[in-house]
Amino acid sequence: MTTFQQALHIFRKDVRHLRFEIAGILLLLIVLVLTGVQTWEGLQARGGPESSDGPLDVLLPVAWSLLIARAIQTEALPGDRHFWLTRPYSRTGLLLSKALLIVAFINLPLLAAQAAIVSLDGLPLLSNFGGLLWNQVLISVLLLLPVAAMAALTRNLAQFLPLVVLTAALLAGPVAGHRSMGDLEWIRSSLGLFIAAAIGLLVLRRQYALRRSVNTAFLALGSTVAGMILYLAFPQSLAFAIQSRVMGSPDGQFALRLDQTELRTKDLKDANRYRQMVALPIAVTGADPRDLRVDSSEITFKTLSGITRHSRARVNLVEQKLVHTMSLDRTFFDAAKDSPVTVRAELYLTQFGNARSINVPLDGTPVYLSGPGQCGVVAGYDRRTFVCRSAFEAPRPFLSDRVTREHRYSRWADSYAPFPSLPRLNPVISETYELVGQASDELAPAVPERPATLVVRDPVAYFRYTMEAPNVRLGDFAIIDPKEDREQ
Amino acid sequence: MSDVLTTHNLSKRYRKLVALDKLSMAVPEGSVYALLGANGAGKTTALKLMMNLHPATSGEATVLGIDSRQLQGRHFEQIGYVSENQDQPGWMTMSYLLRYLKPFYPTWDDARASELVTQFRLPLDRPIKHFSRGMQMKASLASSLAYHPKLLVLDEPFSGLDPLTREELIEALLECAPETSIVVSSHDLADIESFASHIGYLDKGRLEFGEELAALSARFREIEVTLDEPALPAPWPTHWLRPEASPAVVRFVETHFDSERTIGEIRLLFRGVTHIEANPMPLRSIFVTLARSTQIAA
Repeated sequence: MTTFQQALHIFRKDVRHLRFEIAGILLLLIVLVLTGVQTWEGLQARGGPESSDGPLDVLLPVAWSLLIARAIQTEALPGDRHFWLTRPYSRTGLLLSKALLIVAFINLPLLAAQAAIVSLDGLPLLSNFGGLLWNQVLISVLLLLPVAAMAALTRNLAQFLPLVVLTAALLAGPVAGHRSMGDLEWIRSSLGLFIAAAIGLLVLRRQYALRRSVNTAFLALGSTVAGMILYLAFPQSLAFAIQSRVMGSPDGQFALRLDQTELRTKDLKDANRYRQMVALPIAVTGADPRDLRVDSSEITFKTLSGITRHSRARVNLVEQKLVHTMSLDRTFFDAAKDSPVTVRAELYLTQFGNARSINVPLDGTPVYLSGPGQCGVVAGYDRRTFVCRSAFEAPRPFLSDRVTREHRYSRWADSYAPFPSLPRLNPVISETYELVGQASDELAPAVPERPATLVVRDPVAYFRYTMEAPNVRLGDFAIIDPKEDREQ
Repeated sequence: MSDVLTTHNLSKRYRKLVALDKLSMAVPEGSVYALLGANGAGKTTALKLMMNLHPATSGEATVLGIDSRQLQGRHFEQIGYVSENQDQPGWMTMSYLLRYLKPFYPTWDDARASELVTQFRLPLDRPIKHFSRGMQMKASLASSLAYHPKLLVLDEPFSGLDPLTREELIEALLECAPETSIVVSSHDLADIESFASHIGYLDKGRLEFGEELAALSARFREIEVTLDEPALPAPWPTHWLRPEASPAVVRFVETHFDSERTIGEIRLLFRGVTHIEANPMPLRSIFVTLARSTQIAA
């Protein structure tokens, strides 16, 4: 028997042995399709999208884990009592047989189920094919591979289950509790993905080649701890450097400067006793400020006497300027307001481009646009809403005159990730938006409405820009806190 | 005749415990080599090192010309291993086990497999996990003899089996010799004696001796010396074990029996010898003698 023939032979044996577990998994996937499919007509009838979260999100991974553990432990690697150890088993053939089982009864059925959901939901399968495949990679690396590695280190379920629970408990805390890098989180997630794949493959390779379970377990533990430290300590500056390199920088004409031409002074006598609000308008040249998004900004004030203050600013686009509003402590402000101060702004910016638009009729007919996905109006019980749904990724943000920006961001919405999928079981992700304008409150408007225009832009540059303005008189930029203004 | 299995200074240490200490032995082709020893003597450890189930701390073993550390996969096409501690795929029926194993072995013999199943009266359609202990051992042996292995390694195959089952296993083993060389570890001495050609005796991880059974039986004799003047000579020869003295008779076990030399030596050491009787010893008595004398020495 060749190695591959042997792998097929062992595979057939495992299928026979684990037929009930396999049948259970296929049944769960049928349930996933039946409960996961939401046609646009069905969505209209229900008055909006239903949550795709459910018990299957737990049941399927548990069932897969048990199948993998049972399959691998049929020819367990630790110990010296297993019959296969003194039979003419090829270790490569054995590993291949287990991989075949996982692909045949986990990856391929999930792929088919997800393809069915995408198609039946009315989303184009071909343009989501990359997401379909990448989702398999994510689920394989983040779930199946670690589970297979843990199964290869244990003799039976009594050892495997506590190890899984312990590992999950050890990893869940730090991963869930770490500070997110926002749009750059995908870079750290990719590192986590790489670490998980490397440790999983290392364990499987060592176990199937050497069967040194104790050594391999210590190696895996050490690698996991080192990987966690690397993952959690991954510097944001490095993530920024990678992102800038991936996405590019703006052209050389781009510049920011503090606009001191239209100073708006206010009567400060009723201002807050302890804090003072300051608004710095920053003018943009070399780019349309509407195409810019300030992801983060830090402003530093430095007086002639060397006193410095750092402040994080809230940024709004006002009259084509990026207005940075921040609060300074009263002592500093009063001391520095009339003397020249150097203002230094460090901004992290995203520039958008490649704008494209599409009109979506408000009569309930869905329209598909790459990015936001399938969008249209859905009539609910008391009002109409705008719904977009896409496969494997959250619908991309868009601009519209009739539809408000999304009111919430998905935690997983790594908008800068170049990968076409998030790890998901039900591939379709829906977002609900508010319709704006008079007719939006009516369930069935009498007058035909003009369609909503959605404008989708791609991020084309991600960069840091440092601007310095000397001899600034802080007092010229002081404003009354709008909240306090209202109170007065 | 070449050796199918050799070891040279094969040792295994678990931290401070020496499980096997510099084992050097050779199993000639076609032989039935019985590795004897009390519980914990290192028999199972030795066999596991030979089968590459554990790495040796030092030393080496060669199995069918292959370094035992490299032993895996295809090498087992010619090797059978049956152990009382082996986990069989309990969910398989006997019929499926044989069907499953067949493609692994180029020399698989369906007729021999059927013959063994019939001989052992194994039910083909019952899962192995529902077999009795004896039946499981027979199933394991049947699945290991069906491909005519060149070497069969048996670790305590008779332990806990009823006499009838033991007899059936031995019959099957005798049938496959000398085509198959056999290494068997056991402390069931009576059974071993009936079919072993070579004996190795392990004590506390050390091989005390290893030789052909015929030579071993020939050199061990229970000597009874009748005397006029009962007295134990001093110094007592080291190769005379378990001395017992009654008023007129001295008994001991001669471990290097040679008719002329032993009688000469007795007459030299004892005065007033009236009668000397040298009785052949069963393997069990030899084993007990050796075991007790090493315990006393310890």
